[in-house]
Amino acid sequence: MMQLVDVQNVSKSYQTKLAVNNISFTLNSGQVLGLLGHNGAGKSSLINALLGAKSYRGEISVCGLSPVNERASLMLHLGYISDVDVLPQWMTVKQILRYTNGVQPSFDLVKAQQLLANTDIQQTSKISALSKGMKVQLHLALTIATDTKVLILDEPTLGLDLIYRDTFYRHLIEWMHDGDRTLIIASHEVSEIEHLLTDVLILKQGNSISQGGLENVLQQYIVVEATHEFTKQLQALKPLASKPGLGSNKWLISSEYQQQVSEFGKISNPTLQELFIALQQENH
Amino acid sequence: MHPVIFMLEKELLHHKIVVRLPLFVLTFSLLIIGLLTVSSNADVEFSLKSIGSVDRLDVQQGFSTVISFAATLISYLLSILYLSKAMSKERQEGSLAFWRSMPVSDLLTHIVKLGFALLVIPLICSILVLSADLLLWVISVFNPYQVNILMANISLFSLLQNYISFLFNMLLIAAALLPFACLIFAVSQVSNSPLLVVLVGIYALKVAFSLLLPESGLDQFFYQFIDLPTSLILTTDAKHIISQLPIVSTAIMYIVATLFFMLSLSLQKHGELDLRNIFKR
Repeated sequence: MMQLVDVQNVSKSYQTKLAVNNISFTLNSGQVLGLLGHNGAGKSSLINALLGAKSYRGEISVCGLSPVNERASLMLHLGYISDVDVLPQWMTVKQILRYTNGVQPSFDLVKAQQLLANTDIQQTSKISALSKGMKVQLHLALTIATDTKVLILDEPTLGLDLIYRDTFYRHLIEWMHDGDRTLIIASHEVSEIEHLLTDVLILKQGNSISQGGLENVLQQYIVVEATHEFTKQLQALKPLASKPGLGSNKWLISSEYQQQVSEFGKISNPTLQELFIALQQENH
Repeated sequence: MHPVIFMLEKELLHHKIVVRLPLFVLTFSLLIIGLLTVSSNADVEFSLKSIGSVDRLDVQQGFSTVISFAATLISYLLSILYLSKAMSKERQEGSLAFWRSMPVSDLLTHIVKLGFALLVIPLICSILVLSADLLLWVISVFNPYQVNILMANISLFSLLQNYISFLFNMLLIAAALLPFACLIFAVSQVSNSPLLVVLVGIYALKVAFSLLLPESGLDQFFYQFIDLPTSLILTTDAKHIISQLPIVSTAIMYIVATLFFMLSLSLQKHGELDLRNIFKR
């Protein structure tokens, strides 16, 4: 496995506000990192640092290159798609394909045209005339047709209908299988991306509150569905969250107490969404 | 093809007025030339009255002088218009992230945009001069009497001479415009109205220094920074104006321009103002 992303002790401040605080992680080919957090958690600041769009403290290496000092070389291997319309609206599809083909040496024009041929996008259409879903499809086609090793997605499916989302993720999975690649997805839609992830980094107010392999992170917690008679004992175990149900409560607690609570009720593994919500609401 | 070609093509597509305005003026000029040459009234006279420091252009010297002057003025205005939008337009449109996702360095982007403003736009406008001159020459071949009224000594050689002289003048104007271009690039990184900020800023400084430090010579410096290109357009003897420029002041102007260029590069590269970054590689 090839190491593609190495982030060490990265921090980013805006005047007095600390947007990202001492974040470190590495990604090898085949890994898919879910970058999770609410608005203002620091996801976009971290992505901007990875893209070399903003300066930062600490060290970042993507494909062995510095995003700020070697951005042009890095962009041969790095792709980025966000929910915001970053494509130039005044261009036609044909013009953007021609431009990308002209400046991006690893761009495969035929592949991009083939990908677009399976959509409703006409090459003569202006980008401004395309729907939100079509714009994402076009951007994805440009990215997939480029031999990128690292792809960063920032809320890519925001505002897309279910069919576009399904197509989008299908293409992503195919793209991942095509070579030694890694993917970083920042999203609010935790349940939607959970099946893609191998790793997770949960941010809260710029700090990492949980990170690692998805299985390892989820194995640190258990969900106990217990009747009210065990409430006091479970509260003593400092649960991360509790959710009232009909005649019983669901408790999210550390898995170290698994043996202790095995008699209390039904035990299951938490979903990433349950864990994410619990971690975000902790201490609120 | 080299990526620079595609980058220049993109600038042409993004700033269509750079082609449309000269094309419109060309069509208009050709129409006028055509009308004048077919007109039965051969005593048509033109004159441009002098305005301020504008040298009087006697059209009897040749209709091509008028066309060259118009093309120079259009080129200058288009360059200023382009420079004021070259950096900020992409940011305002929200497409900057896309352009930065291409394997093109900030330095190359800056050089291409400078080259487009100072070389490509004048070159496009030169086609206006060349086409009008060629048309006059063609007409002179078939109807020499009519054209001699409009343009003296018309020949292929004089036509070529006029074109080369136009290109040379445009090169001088480009060199004079370079410091202003670097300044406006730097301001574009932090302001959405760079032209306004630069003009108000420079004239405010100019007035302030002329009142507070009248003997400092900074007047001349500001003249070179902002008024020199205009003087070169309005004069008939650009070489004389260039030869009158003080060497030290000119050198300082280009050093300051280099600093503005580096500041613009640093701001684009780091996404924010940090003076420590300017000299970082």
